[in-house]
Amino acid sequence: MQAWMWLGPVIMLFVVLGFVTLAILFERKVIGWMQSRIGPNRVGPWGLFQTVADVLKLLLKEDIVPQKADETLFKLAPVIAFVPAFAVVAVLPFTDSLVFADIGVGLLYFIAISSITTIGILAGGWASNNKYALIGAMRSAAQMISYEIPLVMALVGVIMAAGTLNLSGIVEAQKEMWFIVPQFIGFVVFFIASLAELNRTPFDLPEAESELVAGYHVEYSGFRFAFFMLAEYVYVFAMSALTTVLFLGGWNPLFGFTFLPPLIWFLLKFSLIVFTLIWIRATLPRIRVDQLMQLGWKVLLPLALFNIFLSALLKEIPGIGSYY
Amino acid sequence: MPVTSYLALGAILFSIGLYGVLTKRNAVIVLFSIELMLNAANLNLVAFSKFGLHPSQVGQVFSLFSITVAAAEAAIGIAILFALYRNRGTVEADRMNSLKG
Amino acid sequence: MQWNGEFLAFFLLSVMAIGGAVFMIHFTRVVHMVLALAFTFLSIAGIYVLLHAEFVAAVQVLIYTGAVSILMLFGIMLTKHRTSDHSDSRSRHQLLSFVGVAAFFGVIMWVIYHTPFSGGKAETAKYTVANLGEWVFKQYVIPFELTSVLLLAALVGAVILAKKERDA
Repeated sequence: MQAWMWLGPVIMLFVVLGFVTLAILFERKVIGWMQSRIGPNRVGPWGLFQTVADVLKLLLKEDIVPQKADETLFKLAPVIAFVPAFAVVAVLPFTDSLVFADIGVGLLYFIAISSITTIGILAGGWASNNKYALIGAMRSAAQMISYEIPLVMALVGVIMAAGTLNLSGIVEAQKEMWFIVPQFIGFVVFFIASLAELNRTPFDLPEAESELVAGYHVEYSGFRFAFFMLAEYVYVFAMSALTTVLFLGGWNPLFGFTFLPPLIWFLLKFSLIVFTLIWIRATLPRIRVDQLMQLGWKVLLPLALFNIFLSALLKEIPGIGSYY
Repeated sequence: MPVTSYLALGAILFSIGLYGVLTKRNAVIVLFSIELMLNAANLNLVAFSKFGLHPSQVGQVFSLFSITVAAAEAAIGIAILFALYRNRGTVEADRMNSLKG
Repeated sequence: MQWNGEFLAFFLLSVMAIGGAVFMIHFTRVVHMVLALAFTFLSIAGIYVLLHAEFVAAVQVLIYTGAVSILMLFGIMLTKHRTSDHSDSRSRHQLLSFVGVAAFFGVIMWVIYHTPFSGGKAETAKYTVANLGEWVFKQYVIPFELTSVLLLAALVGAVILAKKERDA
């Protein structure tokens, strides 16, 4: 038991790193397929070792700290950005027995800890002492703070239906009906807001290659840059898993197909979400800054508030009330 | 842990915040020091909700309210600072003396 | 005082909290000050967990580390600064402040250590989020509604204050 306490998180770290490696390859392959290209296919069979080669290249690169940069903060920022990304994985329940920290306020913990990453991004952009980096960091922070509000508001409906903030409890509450059906508005708002939180297309303004060079990590190279990328993809992992847990019933099987083990069910739904994220990236163009803010404050937030109101109302109606 | 340790921590943080308010010139930092003082007070509320004469969760409820008020205060404070900065071009607290006779 | 896990955790967290606050006073660059205080707020959240207030801890991280600190960083980046906050010209003022604060601190500490705290036994098993919700939404529902009105007023007020003044 004691050994498992220490080994579990280490194994999880490697699982997450493995996911990141595969997800980057998968993303390039899928986008290639959608754009009628082949994608990476040189390193290893089916390009399987392409990401490994890329990471090795990053690790071998010279570690550059710009002369005018704030050196301490410049070195600290990738760490501030990455540590919360991995810390949120602890509360995710993969099956009813495979969960590392089953704490009462799991959902709130996830949201709270993930907001620390913004400080890392802002600090990195400021410490680089570069205009593009600063603009990218400010955009990123503004975007993440704005979209955190609809994100949390969209979750209130789920919390009301499940009656708990514990993530395992929320999955248990979805035995009869996944929350994606009764909480459909909440799901849509949550999904769009989570895209913005992940800084992914169409909300990738903080790192818009064509206008800002690369956003807050312009000056970063080598393994510090790798840390920022890693944080980003670990969030893709965590956010997809959270969406699965909150709206797609976690490890609960569909149509009572219990012959597949719960973990497989979880992975299937999880992969579906990851694929959708990549699909959206290949499909939609980037939106403008003013459109971004208008969408967040004028569309998503009222919609999320309406969802809370509607959920509370429908909860009182006999018959369908039990689903809310 | 005895309750005195938590209270002492609160007192230390409050004093540091007070010193910050009194000596720092940058208005943003003064605002932030006030937040630190509010936090120290919150710490006492939560400590007494566990160790008080009649321990109950009400202390936590109070601290939630005070966190809310502190957040509103920070937002308004920063907005006032922006307005001041636009008019006077500085955020140094001791240069905002246009009411001085 | 026995050496157990709780004591060790309290010791580490309070050293982190006080350290962050002291560094805030000590640093000269404004951004560093804000980051040091953000660290203090995070440590205070850890102390809340020790006091069986998980919900308050999560709210503390969400509001202070996640929102207020970033608001302050924005405040710094959108206004012009002499990057360092040097106050050498006011050493007399600083000394007076220090003496005053030290006297205040001494009095408070004296009071804390000379008051007999005869605390009751807390039923920490009942300190759940559900019970906290019962308190907030039953007995304290009117203050709760009032804070929501306050937040709305603050939201509108902040937007109006920070808006560019049109030349009317």
